[in-house]
Amino acid sequence: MFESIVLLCIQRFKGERTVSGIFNMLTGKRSSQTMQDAKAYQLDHLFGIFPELDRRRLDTLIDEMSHSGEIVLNEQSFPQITETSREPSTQTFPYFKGMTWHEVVPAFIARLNLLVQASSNKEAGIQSYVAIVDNPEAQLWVKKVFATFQNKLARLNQSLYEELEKLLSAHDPVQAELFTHRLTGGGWIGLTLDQLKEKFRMSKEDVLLGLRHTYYYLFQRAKMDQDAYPVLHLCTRGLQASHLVTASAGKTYQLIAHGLSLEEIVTIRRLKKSTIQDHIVEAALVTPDFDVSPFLTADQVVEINQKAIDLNTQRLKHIHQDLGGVYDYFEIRLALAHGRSTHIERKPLP
Amino acid sequence: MSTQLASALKKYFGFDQFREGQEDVIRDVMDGNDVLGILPTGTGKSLCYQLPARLLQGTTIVVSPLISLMVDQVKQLKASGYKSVTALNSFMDIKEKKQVIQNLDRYDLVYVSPEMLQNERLQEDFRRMTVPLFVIDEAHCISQWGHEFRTDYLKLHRIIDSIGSPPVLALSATATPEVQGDIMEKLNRPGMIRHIHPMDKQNISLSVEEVQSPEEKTDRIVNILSHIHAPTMIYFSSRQWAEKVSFVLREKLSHRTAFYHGGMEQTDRMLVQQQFMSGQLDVICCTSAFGMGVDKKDIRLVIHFHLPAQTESFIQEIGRAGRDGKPSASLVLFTKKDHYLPQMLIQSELPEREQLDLVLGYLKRQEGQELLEDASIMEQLQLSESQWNFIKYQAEERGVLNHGKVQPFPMDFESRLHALLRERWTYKQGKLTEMLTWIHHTGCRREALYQSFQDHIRPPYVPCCDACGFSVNHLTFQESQETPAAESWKERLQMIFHQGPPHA
Ligand SMILES: Nc1ncnc2c1ncn2[C@@H]1O[C@H](COP(=O)(O)OP(=O)(O)OP(=O)(O)O)[C@@H](O)[C@H]1O
Ligand SMILES: [Mg+2]
Ligand SMILES: [Zn+2]
Repeated sequence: MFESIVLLCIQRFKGERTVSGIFNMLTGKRSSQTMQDAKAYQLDHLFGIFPELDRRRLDTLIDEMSHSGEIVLNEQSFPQITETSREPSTQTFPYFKGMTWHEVVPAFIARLNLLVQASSNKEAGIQSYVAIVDNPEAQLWVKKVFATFQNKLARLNQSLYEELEKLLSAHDPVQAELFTHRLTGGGWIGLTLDQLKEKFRMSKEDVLLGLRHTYYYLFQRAKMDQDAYPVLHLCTRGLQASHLVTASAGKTYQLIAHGLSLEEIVTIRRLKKSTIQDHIVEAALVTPDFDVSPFLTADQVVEINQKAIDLNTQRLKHIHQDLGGVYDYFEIRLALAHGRSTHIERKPLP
Repeated sequence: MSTQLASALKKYFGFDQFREGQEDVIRDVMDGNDVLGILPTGTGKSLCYQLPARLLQGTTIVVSPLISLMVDQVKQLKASGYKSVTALNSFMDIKEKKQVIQNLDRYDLVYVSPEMLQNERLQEDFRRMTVPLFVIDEAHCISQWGHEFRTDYLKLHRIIDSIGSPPVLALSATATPEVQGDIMEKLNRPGMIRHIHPMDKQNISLSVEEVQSPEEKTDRIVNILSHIHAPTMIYFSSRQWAEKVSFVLREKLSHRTAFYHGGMEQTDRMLVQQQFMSGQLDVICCTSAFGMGVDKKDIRLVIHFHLPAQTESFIQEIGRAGRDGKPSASLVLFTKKDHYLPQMLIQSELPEREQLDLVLGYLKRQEGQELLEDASIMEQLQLSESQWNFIKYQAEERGVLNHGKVQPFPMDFESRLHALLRERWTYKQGKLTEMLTWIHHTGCRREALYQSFQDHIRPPYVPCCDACGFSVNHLTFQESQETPAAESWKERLQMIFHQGPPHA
């Protein structure tokens, strides 16, 4: 799965981004560059799905893939797919939706693991045990659930079991194995990453991603369908989708909304002009009704976006040159960002 | 009185009787005396303050060096129904910490790490509370002759005085008479009542075997374990070796084996520990990071693949075996070259002369200025944490570091520091030599091992040692029960939720 994911990143990046770009995407770096890339190259579902990724493992994989001819490193040594590259098999991870959920999935994981342990231990009559999750918020949450369902804990346990059984039956079988063997409860202690790796003869990365993907799957199914999965749905309560803007960009956005000009904001915030421009692009990305009129007309936005489509690139330099240098890089980025968040009609490629 | 204590023991902890030494210590503590308790590992030192904490008016404070240990104990206490207990440490998140601190006086028992205790605000809080007892667990850390010297511990006596000099209980499992004296001196409590209990484990057979190479050690372990099935710990001083040997054992034996060391991810560490505790693992290949606070009763065999740097650590580590009192054994495997590794450990603990000169030069150049954070200094000067702690503590003691600012050196500062360093090196080397001497000892190992801790060695209930005719080849433990493994995810899910076997 790790290989397919990296291959997908390389494919979508079209040789226009470095290995660091891939690393930042998967680990979810909160920089405007990475967030813009996520949208621009349609990798937002992979944003932040692999926070524990080891940079050296990524480098090694890229090396291996380029040695085997799977990919090439282009003149700037950016990875790029070749004629003979496999099509990355994306069907093993259809549920990743990193940009939207990566911030709350860890809380879901902590709650679910702890609830399974507490509930199944209770069922088995095990009273004294070490909590598998150290996170105080999750512990508090489980305490509350237990207090609320005091007399119905046996039913909660049964339902939790049935919900998991049902969802896992419809899931990738290997991932279901990973998930259940990682769980602790009822006197059974979960396996470590190394043990999972060995038992299922998988790489550490595939173990981690397989687990993570299963949590994304459970989370979204449960979030959507409270009736079918009442207990799992409980674990998703209060965990909201994120609208990613860095705090600093948020402030800039406020000032723009108040009608201040770029130069004024530079003075007030005492930041570099380029930084403020980053903020504006970032805000435009995630705000569908963002008003670009202080910077560009609607026609200009369309012109720039059309050029990107025609050239099939997100490379600012190419777009800049092909438009005869009329627009600066900021204007191009802003137009692309705005175009994306408003889904400007794109002509299909020839 | 004693029946009262016994019924409190029953009431709060559910135990029918005190273990050796507990009652004497508790009685003296309840009477308001300063007490030094040296009780063997696993005999229940914690109870010596947990019970008084329940009975005494006010909040008992416990200083403990290992955060994980503290947290474990609090979890266990809470799980057993003792709610008014908490642990303060720097890993807590701010909200939680604040909440605990605001309600400190509601707790009977507060565990605190030595670093946290340096916090003046916290001291202020303690000053306002009723503190009937101040406990120092693993008290040997206060002695620079102890095997785990911690500079933070040296400041304890001042803190104790500043919060109104409550009675002090100092506890340790391994402290030579020399270290005992040092503990009392550093705490400035010469009148402490001592309860020193014998270290020697009457249910553990001791043995040492020499081999030619590390590979041969591994072969020997495979050979021994092929006719022993019982909970076993194998100690290493290197993470790589712990991993490597665990792979070999998994390959060659049917035993369920895992490794454990400080470099592992937190959750995985806990999982391995829990698997071992719950009988889902037979053999654990670990560094000394494992063990502290591990209270598994039925460990039958402790093997040392590498030597610890001193007998105190060794005694503590073999003390993990046989906590249920049943026959158990210790085996040390060594090669002629094995003194290198502990030698290197000592080197990473103490600065070398050249390093010390480097640091002194650096401090001189910083005179009058604020010192950088510890981490940056350690990085800049390439020092390990304990190397820097050694120097920093001395600098603070001599006023060279005052509120983070570097002051002019007193005249003899440098020469005294060099002398002290030489002394420490000699001491550590002496400790290592003692360990090595024991390895090469040809007489009774039991007598040689415990002679510096106690006058009289008790006769063991089990075969004594290799010099007295014991060999691990005689062992015939067959205790591990195979726990069934799940065939599929469905079965595993059912096992967890107790839905019964799939085809039932
Ligand atoms: N009187 C008693 N009767 C039965 N069990 C006891 C008694 N006192 C303590 N125990 C149990 O003994 C075990 C070991 O206790 P504890 O961890 O306090 O040992 P320790 O002396 O601090 O060991 P270490 O040197 O490893 O820190 C615990 O499980 C505790 O519950
Ligand atoms: Mg203890
Ligand atoms: Zn003997």
